[in-house]
Amino acid sequence: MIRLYGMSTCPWCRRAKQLLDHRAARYELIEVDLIDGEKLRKALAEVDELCGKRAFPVLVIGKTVVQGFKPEEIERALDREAKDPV
Amino acid sequence: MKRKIPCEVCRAGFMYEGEPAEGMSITCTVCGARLEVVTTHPAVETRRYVQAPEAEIRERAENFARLRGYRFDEMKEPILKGLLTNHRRFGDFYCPCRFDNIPEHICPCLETRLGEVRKAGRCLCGLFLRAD
Repeated sequence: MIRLYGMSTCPWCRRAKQLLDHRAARYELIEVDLIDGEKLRKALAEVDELCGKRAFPVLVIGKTVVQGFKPEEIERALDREAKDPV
Repeated sequence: MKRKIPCEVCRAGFMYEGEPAEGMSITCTVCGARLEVVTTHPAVETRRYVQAPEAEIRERAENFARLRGYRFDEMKEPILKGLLTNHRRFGDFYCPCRFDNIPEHICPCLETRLGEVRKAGRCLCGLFLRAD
């Protein structure tokens, strides 16, 4: 399971999307500044629980959470997820 | 003579060498914002210097980087674009990588003003980078 929490204003979130697309990963994208109501409340609660800080991008790749655009960490997590999907 | 000037942008006070006069344009040495002196009596008051948003944030970022000895990289333009989008949507230059639009997240954000770049090598959104 891969999920990307991002913001449409955040260039690092675009870089994270590009990396996932480049790896042909299937992922769910949640852009928190473009949603509202219950969807937003739920997404922010998830980010708060995962990271404690509402800074983006936040990537959930299997059991790994990566906050910020850290390509090496993301690649390693993608490799693990490809071998042993959660 | 040194005078303490309040910054309307970062809410900090900074020391100014000389005598400020009404209408004078000065730069906040804490955040790099360009300010206009509104009045000097009984105390000095400032407001943001009126200019187009793009000119304002570019000048502020350049001033801040120069004052602290920071540098930019190729992400400068996309980050400025995000800051301008937030200005259009929310009325100020809130960090493009954070959800909460609070005064502490107005660029340069409080963390950055308190030395995050020196410690971590970059600010959270990566606009300002340590020179080394």
